[in-house]
Amino acid sequence: MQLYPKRFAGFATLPTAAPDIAAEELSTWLMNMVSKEEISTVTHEAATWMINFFGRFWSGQKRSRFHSTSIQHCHRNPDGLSRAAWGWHIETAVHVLRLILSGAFDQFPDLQIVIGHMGEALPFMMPRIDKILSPNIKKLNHPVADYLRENIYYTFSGFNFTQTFLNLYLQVGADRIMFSADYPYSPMAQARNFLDQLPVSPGDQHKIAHGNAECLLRL
Amino acid sequence: MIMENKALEKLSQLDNHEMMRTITLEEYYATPAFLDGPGRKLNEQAKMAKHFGYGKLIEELSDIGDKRIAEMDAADIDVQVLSLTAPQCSNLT
Repeated sequence: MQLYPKRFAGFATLPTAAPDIAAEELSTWLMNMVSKEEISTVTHEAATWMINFFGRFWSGQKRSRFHSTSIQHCHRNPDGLSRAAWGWHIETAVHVLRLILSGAFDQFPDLQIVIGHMGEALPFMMPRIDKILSPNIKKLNHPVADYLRENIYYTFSGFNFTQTFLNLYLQVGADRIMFSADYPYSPMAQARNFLDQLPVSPGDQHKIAHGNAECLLRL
Repeated sequence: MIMENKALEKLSQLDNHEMMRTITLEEYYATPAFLDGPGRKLNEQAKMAKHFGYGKLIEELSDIGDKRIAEMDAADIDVQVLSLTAPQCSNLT
């Protein structure tokens, strides 16, 4: 990876189920990444944020985990249904909704989360979710769709399907969509071909291919 | 806040598809220690699934060097933002 600094970047892996350890790990990781002057403020802020966020919101998710076992047990071949065909996606979608409903994004309005698979079916359900889960009932500052448009980014992850893309594009717009392949689980060339054939303007295509990622991750 | 970025504004006005930089965001790697630890099950499953098109999975996950770069070049992908593959650092006990 160090041999090709212009070709690779990376996300930190954190043990989110253990917020204290996750905070410590992030601090250590940041120590190696930022200049010395910034260290004390950045790491302190990051550690506090991490304990707060993962401690209060994320670990709560685990306790109220969606009924994955029932998906697994209701089918003779659980591998597909509970995993890559359906379960992984729907569980991630439920996870995102629970985060929104927990008020996490009201407390951390600048927090940005990147999810894959063209939105894990959330764009399809968005108008319905927005209609039923009204902010008054849920004691949120904004409609649920606002968080889905302002706090979440969406990547392809091998969902090289035009219909699914168009639904996401119509719901959240080009500013929230980013390119990804899901390599090596899905081939790079297939993803690149799909990107080239997107029915969008050149400007939107550039945002999706690199512009949004450059801004969000400062690449 | 992020949307007001001037670089993005400029991109909106582009009128050609040429010379497009490409960054991919959900791309995985694995290390030998990971494949012996939290990724042990993945390692075993990949070996069993060799006949289903995942024969090279472990090899591909483990390479963050020349072979991956060659494949990125062939597919016209400029940058990969890498993540440790599932189950990441779950199942450590």
